[in-house]
Amino acid sequence: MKRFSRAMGIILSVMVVLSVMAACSGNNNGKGNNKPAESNAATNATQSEKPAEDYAFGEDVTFHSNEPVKYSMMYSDHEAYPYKQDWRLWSAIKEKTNVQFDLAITARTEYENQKSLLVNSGDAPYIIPKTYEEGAFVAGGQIVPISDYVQYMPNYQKAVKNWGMEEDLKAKLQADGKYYVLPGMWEAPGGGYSYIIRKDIFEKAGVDLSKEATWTYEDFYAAMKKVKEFTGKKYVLSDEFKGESTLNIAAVEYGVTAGWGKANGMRFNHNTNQFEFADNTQDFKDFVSYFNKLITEGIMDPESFTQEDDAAKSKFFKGDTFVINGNYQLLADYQTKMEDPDAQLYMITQPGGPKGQLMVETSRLENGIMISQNALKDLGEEGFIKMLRFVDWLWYSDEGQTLSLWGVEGETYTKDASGNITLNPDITYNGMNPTATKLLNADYGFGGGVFAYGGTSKLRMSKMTDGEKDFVSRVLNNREPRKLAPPIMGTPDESEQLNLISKPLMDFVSTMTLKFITGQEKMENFDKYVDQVKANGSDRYTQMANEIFGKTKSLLGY
Amino acid sequence: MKETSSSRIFQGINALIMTLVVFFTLYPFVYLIAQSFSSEAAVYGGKVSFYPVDFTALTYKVILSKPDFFHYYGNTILYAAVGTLIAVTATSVMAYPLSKDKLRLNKFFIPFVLFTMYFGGGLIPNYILVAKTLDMRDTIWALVIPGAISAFNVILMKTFFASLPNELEESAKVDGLDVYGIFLRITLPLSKPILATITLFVIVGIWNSWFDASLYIQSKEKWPVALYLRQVIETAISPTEIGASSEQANQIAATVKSAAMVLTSLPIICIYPFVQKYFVQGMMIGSVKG
Amino acid sequence: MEGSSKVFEVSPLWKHVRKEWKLYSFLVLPIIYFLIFKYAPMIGNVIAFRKYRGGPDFLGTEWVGLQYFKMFMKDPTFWRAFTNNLVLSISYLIVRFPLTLIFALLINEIRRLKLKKFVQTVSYLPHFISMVILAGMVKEMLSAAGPINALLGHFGVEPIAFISLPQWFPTIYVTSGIWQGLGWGTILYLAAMTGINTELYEAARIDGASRLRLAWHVTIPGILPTIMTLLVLDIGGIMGSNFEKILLLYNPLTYESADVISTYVYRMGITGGNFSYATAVGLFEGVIGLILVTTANTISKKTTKSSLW
Repeated sequence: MKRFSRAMGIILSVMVVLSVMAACSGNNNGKGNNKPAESNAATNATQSEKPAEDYAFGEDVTFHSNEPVKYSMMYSDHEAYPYKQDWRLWSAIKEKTNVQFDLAITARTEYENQKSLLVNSGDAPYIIPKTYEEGAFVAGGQIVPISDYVQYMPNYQKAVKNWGMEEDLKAKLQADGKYYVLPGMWEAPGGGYSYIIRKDIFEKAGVDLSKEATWTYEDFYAAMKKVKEFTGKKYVLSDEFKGESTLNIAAVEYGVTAGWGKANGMRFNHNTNQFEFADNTQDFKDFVSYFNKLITEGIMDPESFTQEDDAAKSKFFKGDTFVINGNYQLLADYQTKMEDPDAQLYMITQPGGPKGQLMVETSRLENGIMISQNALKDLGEEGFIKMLRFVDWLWYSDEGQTLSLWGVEGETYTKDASGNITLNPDITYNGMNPTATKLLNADYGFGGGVFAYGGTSKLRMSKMTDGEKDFVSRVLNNREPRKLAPPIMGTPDESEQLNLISKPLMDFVSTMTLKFITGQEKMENFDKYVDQVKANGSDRYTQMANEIFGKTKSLLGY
Repeated sequence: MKETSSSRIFQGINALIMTLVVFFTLYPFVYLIAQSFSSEAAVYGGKVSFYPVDFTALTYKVILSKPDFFHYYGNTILYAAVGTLIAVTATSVMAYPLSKDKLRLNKFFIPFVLFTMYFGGGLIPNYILVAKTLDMRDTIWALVIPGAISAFNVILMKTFFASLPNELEESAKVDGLDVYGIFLRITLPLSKPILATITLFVIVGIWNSWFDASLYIQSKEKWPVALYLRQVIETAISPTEIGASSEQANQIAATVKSAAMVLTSLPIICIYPFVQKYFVQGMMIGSVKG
Repeated sequence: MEGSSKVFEVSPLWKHVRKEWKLYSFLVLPIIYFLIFKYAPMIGNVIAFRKYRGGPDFLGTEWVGLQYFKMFMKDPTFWRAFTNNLVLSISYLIVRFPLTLIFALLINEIRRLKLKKFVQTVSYLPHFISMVILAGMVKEMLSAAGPINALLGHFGVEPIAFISLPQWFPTIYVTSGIWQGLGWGTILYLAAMTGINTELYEAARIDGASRLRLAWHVTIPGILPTIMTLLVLDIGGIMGSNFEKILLLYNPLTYESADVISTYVYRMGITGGNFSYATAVGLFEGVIGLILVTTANTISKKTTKSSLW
C-alpha cells in the first residue's frame, strides 16, 4: 500500500512540479479553467501541460476555490458549545473560501478513541485536528508524512520562518526524518501551570510579594513557612493532579524530570551533546530533598500525591490551605468558588532553582492536524495540495485564525485602526463581557478548540484577561527560555526496545521519588537507589539513546 | 419450645446483622443523594452527611430540562428492551441442550462456549467486524447483537436447567410433547427464577453500557443515557475551556457526579421489585404434584 | 470441529446425533453467533506472534515468533504484577466466597417478606455505584482527616496513610470489593434456593433438624451445582482483576502490591508495536485461565460430582 502510493506520488509530483513552479510566486494566481476539485489520480496523471490553478491561495491571500469543494474532517464536539449546523462559522468559511466540511462529529470525551479506531481501520477522514500525540499513528501508514508537503503551505512557512520554529519542529521528527502532524504554533510559549496563592493571606503573614518574580524555591519555602506560622493551619499546600504538576514544574529548575514531565528521565547536555539520565543524579537528590523538607516541616500535605483533585480543591476553597497548583483558567474558576469573599488569588511566576530562573514552558507547539492518506488517495496529489492550502489558510494565516477565533468583522467584533480587536458587547467569551447573553462559541461557533488555537502573541493576549496577561508577561520577562532537547528518533523496533526499558524503569523512579519525598524511604538510602536505577536499565537506555542520536544528529543539525 | 426461643434469638441476631448491612450499604447512597441536592458551598465545605444542606435541585433541573435527556432515556429503554429479549431468548435456547447430560457432543460444545471467556479478539478486530464487515454502525444492532450471548450467562442457565427434575420431562414426553414443546411448556415456566436473574443481569448491563455506544453510534440522537451522563460527568471533572464560569456551572460541577449516578441507578433499582416476584420459593411443589 | 467423530466410533455418534437432532437443532443459530462474534475476531490474536503497529492490516505485517512473549517474560515488573494479581484475586475469592453464601443463607432465613425484599434491594445498591464515585468515597474515608483515622485517633493511634502504603492495598481492595459485590452476589444463590423442594425442608424439620443443620443438609446440597459453578468460574477468573478500581485507587507508592497485569499493560502503553505486546500478554492470561478453570472443574467433578462439563 505504502509503496504503491509512494510510486504514484513520485509520478504525480513530477507532473505537479510544473504547475507548482508557476504558482510559486506566492501571490494571486490566475484563475484558470474550471477543473473539478475532487479529481482522482487518474485524471491528474493525464494532465501533462501546465495545469492552471482553479483556486486562489498564497501567503496572506484568502484561499478561494472556484468550484465548491467539500473536505471530510473529524470534529471534536465540546459539550460546552455543542455542534450546530447553522453556526455562523460554517457559512463564514464557505463565503470566503467556497469550502465546506463533511464532518465526522464525535463527542470530545470519545474523540481519542474514535480517532484511533477510524485511523486504524483505514477509514479516517482527510483532516484530523486536535491531535496531541501523533507518534502512535506513524507506523500504521495511514497518515501522510506531512513534512514532505509543507513546502506548499505559504502561511505555515511564514510562521515557521518569522517565529524561528525550525528547532521546535525538530521535536516532531520521526525515525524517517519526517514529521506527521501540522502542529499548532504559538509565537511565544504560554504561561503554563504554576502556583495559585492566597495573596491576601500571604501579605497578612508578612510576605513581601513585590519580588516574587525572582523567587527561587528556597524563597518560596521561606514564604510558605511564614504563612504556616501566621495561620497555624496544618498545611500550606495540598496539591491536586496528584502532585504531578508541581513536581514537573519544579523538576525543570533542578535539571531533572518528574511528574507530568518525567517522560524517560533523560536530559540533554548541550555542552557534551549527549543524553544523560537525570533522575539518579545529585540534582535529583536535591530535588527530592527539597520536597521532603516541605513534607517533614508540615508545609506540604503528603496526601497531595494520592488524593482526588476534588479533595485538594475543597481544602483550598474552604481556606484550609493557601497554595494550589493550576493554570490561569483554573484560577479564574477558583476565584468564584472561594468560601472567603475577601480571598484574593494570585498566580506566582514559577520559582527558579539551582539551574537558574528557567522558563518551564518551552514548547511553542501544541495539538495539531494530521492528514490522512485517504486524502491523497481520493483527491490525487493536486487536489491534495489544494486541500493543504486551504488548511494552510484556515489554520495558519492571520486572516483564517482571526476568523476562527473572533468571527466576522462587524458582525461579532470590531477592529480599530491599530488592529486591536474588540468583541461586540452583546457577545461573551472567555470572561469578556460577562453579562452578555450571546456566547461566541455556543451560538456562533467561533472561539472553539478545533479551529482556534495557535497564533501570534497579540492574538493570544487578545483572549486574556488582565490578570492572565500580567502573569504571562512576568513569565516571559523574568524567565530564561530553555534550549530544546532533540528527539530520540528511533526506528519502530528501536522505539519498542527503548519503551520496554523505560516504562518499568520510570515506574521505579516514580515510586522512589514519592517514597523519598514522603519519607517512606530514607535519604540515607539514596545511593542504593542510584545503583538500583542503573540495574533497572538507566545506563542501557542512555547508551541506546546516544547511539540513535549519533546516527541521526546530522538530520537534526548537530 | 427450645426451638421457638432459639429461633427467636437467631431471628434477633439476623435482624441485627441485616441492620448493619443495610446501614453500610444504604449510607453511601443516602450520602450521594444528599450531596446531589446540596449547594456547592456545602459540598466543598464537606458539610454534607445524611441530608442535603442548602437544598437545591439545580443540577437535576438542568440535566432534566434538556429534552435530550428524556430522549436518551427513551433510547436506553428501547435498547434494553430489545437487547434483553434477544439475549434471554438466545441464551436460554443455547443453554437448554447444553444442560442435557445425554448429549455427547456437549463435551465439545461446553468448552467451545467456555473458551470464549478466556480469549477474545481485541478492540480493533471487533470494531472492523461490527462496523465495517457487518456495517452495523449507528444502528441498534451494534449494541444488542455482539453482546447478546455471554458465555457466563449460558453456563449459569445450563446449571439451572440441569437441576430441574427429570420426571417432569419424562411425564411430558409420555403426554406426547416433543423437545420443543417440553422446552416451552415445561422447562421455561419452571425456570422463572433463572430467567428473571439473567434478565436482571442483562438489563443492568445494557442500561449502564456506554462504551459500545461510544464506538459504534455516530448520531447523537441515538445515544443511550449512560453515554450522555458519562459525558456530563467527564466534563465536570476537567477544567472548563469555556470562558465565563457562571454561577450555574459551579453549582453543577460540584454535584453533577452524584446526581448523574442517582439518575442512572434509581430506575434500575425500581425494576428489581418486579423481577423479585419470581424469586418465590415453593414453586416446585405445585408442579411435581400436578 | 467434527474431529471427535474420528476419534470415537463413527456409527454410534452419528446415530446419536440423528436421534437427538431436535435438541441439537437448538444450538445451530447460537453456534453461528459464536463463530461470527466470538471466534472470528480471535484471528486478531495472531498479532501476538506478528508485528502490528496500527493501521488496517490488523493481522500484522511479519512473523516474529515469540518475541513479544519473551519481552514480558523477561520483565521482572511484569512478574510482580502477575504475583499481585494472584494475591489480590485469591484473597478476594477466599473472603468473598463464603461470605456471599452465608449472607444468602441469612437473607433466606428472614421471615417477614417485606423485610426480606427490603434487605435484598438495599444490598444491591452498592453494585450500581460507579467505580469513580466508589474510589472517591474510599479515598475520602481513608484520608488523614477521614472517619477511619478519626476512629483510630480515639484509641490513640496515629493517623495511617492507608492509600499510600502498599501493605494496606490488598485489604482495601478486598473490603471495597465485598462492600460493592456482596449483595449482588447473593442473587444467584437466592434464585437457586427457590428451586429447592420445600418438602425436603418439611421432612428435615420433622426430624428435628436445627436451622444450621437445615442449611447444611438441605439448602447447600440443593444449590450445590450453582455454588460449584460459580466457584469454578471464579477460580478461572483469577488472572482477571478489577481494572478500573485499581487504576483509580493505586499510585506509584503502592505499585508494588497494587499493580496487576491489566494496569501494567495499560501503563506500558498501547502505542504502535505494543498492540502485539498487549495481545501476547492477553494470550498468556487466557491460557492460564483455561488451565485454572479446567483443573477446578476436574476437582469439582471428583469431589462434589457436579461440574461445568
